[in-house]
Amino acid sequence: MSAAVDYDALFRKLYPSLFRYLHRMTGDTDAADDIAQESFVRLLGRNMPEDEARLWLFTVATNLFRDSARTSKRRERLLAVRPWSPTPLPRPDETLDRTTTIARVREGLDKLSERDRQMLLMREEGFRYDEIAKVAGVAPGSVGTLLARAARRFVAVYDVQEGEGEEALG
Amino acid sequence: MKKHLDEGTLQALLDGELAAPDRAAAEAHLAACAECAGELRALSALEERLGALLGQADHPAPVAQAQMRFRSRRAAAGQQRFGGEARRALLRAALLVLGLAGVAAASVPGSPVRAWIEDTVLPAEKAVQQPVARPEAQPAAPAPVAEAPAGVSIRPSRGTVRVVLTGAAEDVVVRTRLVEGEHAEVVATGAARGARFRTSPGRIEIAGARAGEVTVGLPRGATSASVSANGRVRVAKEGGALRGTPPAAGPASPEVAFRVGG
Repeated sequence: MSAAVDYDALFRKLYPSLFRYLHRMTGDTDAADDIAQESFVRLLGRNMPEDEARLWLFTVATNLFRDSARTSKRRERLLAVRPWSPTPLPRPDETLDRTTTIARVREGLDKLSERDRQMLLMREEGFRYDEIAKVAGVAPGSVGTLLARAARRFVAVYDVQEGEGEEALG
Repeated sequence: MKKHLDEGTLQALLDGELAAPDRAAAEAHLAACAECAGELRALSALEERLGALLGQADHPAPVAQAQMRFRSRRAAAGQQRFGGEARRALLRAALLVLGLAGVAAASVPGSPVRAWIEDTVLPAEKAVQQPVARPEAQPAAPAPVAEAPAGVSIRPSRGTVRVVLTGAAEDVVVRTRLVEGEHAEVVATGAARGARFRTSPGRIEIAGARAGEVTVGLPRGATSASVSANGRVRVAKEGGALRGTPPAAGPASPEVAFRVGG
């Protein structure tokens, strides 16, 4: 019975990881929270073990993210504005260094294809290769290679910006 | 010399995703091939850097606020479901009243309802099937899933082995004991099974254990062996025994256990 599921406990346990994943995917705290909320609401009434629920939530959230990205792309085409890429605003407690790091990390992630970003970030949340392969729609045997390449590309983009930043300062 | 290990194999080895025979073959190759061992170190360093950079750009999850929002959405979803059920119950009641009225009318001799039944329904000898009220379909309870523990084992590198927990939740319990044989092993049970394992020469990293228990076996023959959690060394092998840091009071035990947050 669904009444037996302690949704509060499940939420407390799984939300932080789902939010982190979505925040890294989108670079937007509101979008991350919205998608996470919607995924949890869709989980209501389903009765599954926690590990299964976790993969289910990430799968639904990834699909919702794809849908929202498609919608926002359509909107951009109609409005002919520049691509949606929220720039994190510095909070008073954030130093300039941190703000710069955030922007570079964002750029590194945005330069990855959506699939590679998703795979890399799911791995960072501790998912196994077979689970990542299922959500990304790739062969499990190719996950290691794709992850290694994505990690290299991310760090390369980050380092190029760091170099540029230093040149600008020097 | 066998052909070099490809990037995907090295990555899978780091992530603890190689099946035992493949892992043994990869480790044997690495022991003999400086080039591949170098590649593995580079990949491992890259992974650590990636994790650190991503962590620096993270935003704290607004758990309390989000939970309140979720509760109100849950309540709304529950009401909606209740509203739908109430409407269906009313409809069922109305149909029942109509049905009863029909039966009552048919039982009165000479009533038009009875005449209609005698003229049309009975000659056709139609078997009128009473709708059987089916019990509400119950979702089948999921079969209990056997929770296979997750784990990895490695050989010490130059007599040294380090077991490193990163990003572990405070509730994770780590039990360490000395084991016979050459391999250091780490087994995660409970929610810790979801943690990510990375191995590099002489090092096992367990990233992101959320809860549960991690059991570590350090080879008695290792020259130097330790377990650290979230940046602090918690257990070290000293001579033929294990010592917890800070040292635990009481008699020496073959096992040193600690809670990451304790």
